[in-house]
Amino acid sequence: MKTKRTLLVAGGLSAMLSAALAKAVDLQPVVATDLRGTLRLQQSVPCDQVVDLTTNVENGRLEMTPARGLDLEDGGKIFNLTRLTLLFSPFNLDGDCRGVRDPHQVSGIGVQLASAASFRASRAGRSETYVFRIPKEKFLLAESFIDNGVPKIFYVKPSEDVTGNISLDRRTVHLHIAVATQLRFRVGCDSLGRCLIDEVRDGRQTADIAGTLVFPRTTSP
Amino acid sequence: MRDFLKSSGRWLSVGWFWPLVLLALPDCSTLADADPWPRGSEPKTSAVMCDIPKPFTTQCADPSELGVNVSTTQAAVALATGQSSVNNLALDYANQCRDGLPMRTEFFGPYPEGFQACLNCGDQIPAPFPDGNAVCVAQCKELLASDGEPDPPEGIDAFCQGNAHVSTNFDKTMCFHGVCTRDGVALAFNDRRRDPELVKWIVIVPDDGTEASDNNLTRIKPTTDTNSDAGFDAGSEAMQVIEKGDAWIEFAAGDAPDETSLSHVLGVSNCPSPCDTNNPPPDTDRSLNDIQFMISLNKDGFVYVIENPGLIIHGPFDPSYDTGELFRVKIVDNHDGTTATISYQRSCTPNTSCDGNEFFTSVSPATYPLRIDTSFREQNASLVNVTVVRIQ
Repeated sequence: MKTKRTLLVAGGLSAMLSAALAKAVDLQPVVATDLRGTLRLQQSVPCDQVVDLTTNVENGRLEMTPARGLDLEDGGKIFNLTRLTLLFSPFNLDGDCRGVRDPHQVSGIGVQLASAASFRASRAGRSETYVFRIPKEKFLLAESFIDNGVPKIFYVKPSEDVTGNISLDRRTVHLHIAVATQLRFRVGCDSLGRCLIDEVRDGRQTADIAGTLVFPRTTSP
Repeated sequence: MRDFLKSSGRWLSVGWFWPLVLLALPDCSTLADADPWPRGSEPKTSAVMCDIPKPFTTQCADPSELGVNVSTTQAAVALATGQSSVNNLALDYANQCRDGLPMRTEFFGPYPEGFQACLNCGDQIPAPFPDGNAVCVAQCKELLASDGEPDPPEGIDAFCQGNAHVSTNFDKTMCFHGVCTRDGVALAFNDRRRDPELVKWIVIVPDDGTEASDNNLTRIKPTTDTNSDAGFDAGSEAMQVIEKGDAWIEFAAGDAPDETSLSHVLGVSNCPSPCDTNNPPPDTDRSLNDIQFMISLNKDGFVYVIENPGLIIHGPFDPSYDTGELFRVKIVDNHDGTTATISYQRSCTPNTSCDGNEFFTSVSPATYPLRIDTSFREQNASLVNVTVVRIQ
């Protein structure tokens, strides 16, 4: 059954856009293909252990349109993050609690934006650097990975607003994404559902991503 | 919330760390409720490009959304020039509001490129998915079941069946290959929908007096009259028909040393009803008379626009043309369901907007569907690199 959530009022961005220039805009995207950074996984597990590991971005791509954003009267910009794909390095995990071991080989870890997200960026100082905060409810990610040879996919929204900055003069982009997790661990259950272990544990996944922006040929940086 | 109790009792058997065993947080801001559709076995490196609308987003457009989002009629041209909507909106002028503003709908993926649904096409098409549209419906169901937003009133299944489909110029019988990782993560790729179509000529031998070589067309019939329009007695029409939306036809004169001393005409004309857009008839009138809107690269080295009825000649337009210079007949949908505005551009660059390089705009509307038609006066006159961008 689908989880329900209050419908968000989506008028905010439209109102902001009313301040944008009404002239024809070049809607070609700016692209970052050299994404780098990390994904840190912190997860509390039974026996009061904590899994804390960091894996690196192996490959990735980010696209935003329009390339230089839409100008707002207050000096800010509006961008649309149309694509974000992150591929992370594989890693191994080995759960061990009360004599039970459960090793995991995790590979093919990919995160991609499932729903393009428009957002407002505010100018930071005099430079062409813009900071942004994308509301967490507007950011839908599809995550896929292979766990002990079994492909899995799921969708997730961040637990915090996605933050970052875009520097048009330095041609850089940074993103910070944080996802809260809660895992339920069950082991040694009998036919009545009584389990030796039945615990819910909190966790967190944090991705910090950086990239170099490449502008389309027809758009001067 | 999901029933995690049905997971087996094996220690961590439902996953050690990853949110397949996520519990929704108290505020439900994190969701993990996907019901993955069958993407097939590895390699899931192929993809179908899908238009998947978001429920509750179809409404009258705000004026501020007009200049920064792509309309459904602009979709092919936007693809060719690499333009994407800023708000992931498609503006639909076929369904206008009272104040003349279009309706707009928000999509999951960028518009007009679409959502890249990765799968193993070889495994999964034609079964369990008969075609790309069925893939898009499955992807739509998964997204709507996972996005944390309210379900559409008609239910997810009915909504997706009725609204999800392959995106602009993506043939539902095909897949893009090598565009996802083996595990099915979308990768960037060179979208061949951005490439203009090579024009296919329908040449009737010997009546047309022409010879096609790929998308090039040459008059092979000996010159009959080089001093009047009566000499335009060889030419062919293209297979492609422009049925709706913005489009352009791009071409250049051939590169023979004497090419600018020969006469070439290319333009568009209405395909009379009934127009079989899948199998249009050959050209039965090789003259200028049945071409309504045309560019003439004339034997005097100058550029003209000729329009019918009446063979009204505009120009010459400076400067004289060069061999290899790219010209376009540009078609812009008037959003009235039937007509378009024709303009003429020159010195264009492939896959790039040529706006600003118009040298003439017609005051007469063209009526869809439109055919691409040519006529030549002197033997060996050639039109080369003839391509078309259109909604297919």
